[in-house]
Amino acid sequence: MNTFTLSVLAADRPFYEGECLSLVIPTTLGQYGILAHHLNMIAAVTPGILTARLWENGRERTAIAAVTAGIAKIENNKVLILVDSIEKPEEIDSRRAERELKAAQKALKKQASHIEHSLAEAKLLRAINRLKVKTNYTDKDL
Amino acid sequence: MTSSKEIRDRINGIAETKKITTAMYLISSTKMHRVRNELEHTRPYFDALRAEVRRMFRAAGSTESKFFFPDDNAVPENTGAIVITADKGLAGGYNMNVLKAAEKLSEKIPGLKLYVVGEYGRHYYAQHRRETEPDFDFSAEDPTLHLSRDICSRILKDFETGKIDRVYIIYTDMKTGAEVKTTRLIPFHRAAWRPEEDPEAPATEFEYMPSVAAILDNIVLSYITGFIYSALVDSYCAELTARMEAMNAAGNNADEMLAELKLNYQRARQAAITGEITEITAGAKHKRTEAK
Repeated sequence: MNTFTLSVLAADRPFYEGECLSLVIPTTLGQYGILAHHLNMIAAVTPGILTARLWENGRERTAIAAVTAGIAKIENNKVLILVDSIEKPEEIDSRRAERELKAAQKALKKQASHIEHSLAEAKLLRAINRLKVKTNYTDKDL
Repeated sequence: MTSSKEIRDRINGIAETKKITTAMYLISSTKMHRVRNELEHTRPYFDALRAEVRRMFRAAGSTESKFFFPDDNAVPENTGAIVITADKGLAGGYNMNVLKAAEKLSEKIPGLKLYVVGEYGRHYYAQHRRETEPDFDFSAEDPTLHLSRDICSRILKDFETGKIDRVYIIYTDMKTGAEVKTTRLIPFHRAAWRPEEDPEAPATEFEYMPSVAAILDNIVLSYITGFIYSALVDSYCAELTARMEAMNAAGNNADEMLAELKLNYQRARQAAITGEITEITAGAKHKRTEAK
């Protein structure tokens, strides 16, 4: 099996470290797949869904998580992902996400400065993404 | 000679105060452990992020980002400074050291706008009739990532509107022995990335997707938030350490005073007893001579 080392660090905790078979990350140019021995690269990560086929103790396991903005670095078969926050479907509080969605929508309607607008937009994206991950992937056998 | 009752009251008073200082010492120590733990969780992320930003910045050459100086000689006009003080006093010289550093900076840069974190600093400036930025009332207690994001977006808002075009941050660094540091936060400066901080120069070539500037813009918010968060936590730890030291010293002083007062008390008590005995024996002697 061709594997690579994946380490995922979120701002509030180290999230994962281990071997990985394939990885799909959301970038500014769309979903981007990474296999072992990928070219050295740095990419911008946007809020979206991260899918990884992990290789743990000789067995394959698929993991899905909602990520926020950050970067991904691939260097010599090591992938480092740095994001503000990362959550597994079971960790997402859908009520809170919905509340945040509504708050962000309200903030977007207001006439606000450029930065406030982009902050609200980012919040909206995060909330939508959380809800998507929560509704699509909860309680499914992965 | 003071009466023994007076001394006893004083002993009781000091013992009470000592109880308070001991409690404050313990509280500070537990709080510090908790905050330290939180920082340990976040440190790997911010260290890695810092390293990557530095590397990209070195690789990038000139970037078209507003967070970078267009050229190294540009002189910013409006400067702001985030000053991190404690919410409370009783922490030795901690607050004064920070405020002194802020004073120094504002002497160097006239018209410095102050963004003060912590109740003590705000109070200080209110007393000295020095204007601080309104609607910036963040507490220094228990710094969280969320709080740092709020501070960061507020600062960036003013940065965006052109109210400030350079931001310093004044905080107390735990790593270098509770030293007050004045660091520029934004815009980033090419000269600020000192090469000695980066032993592993970019050896490998990277492909950037979509471009270095876009990637940097994507993470600059996290980067600044991370910097503010580390500064807040470092300052908070320094504050708690300073308070622990101050309270420890206060406890030791109280012990010393108690020892002396107890000695005085015993002396006063002994003197009172001796005086009484003398009076009684003198009285008895008088009676005896009268009876004869």
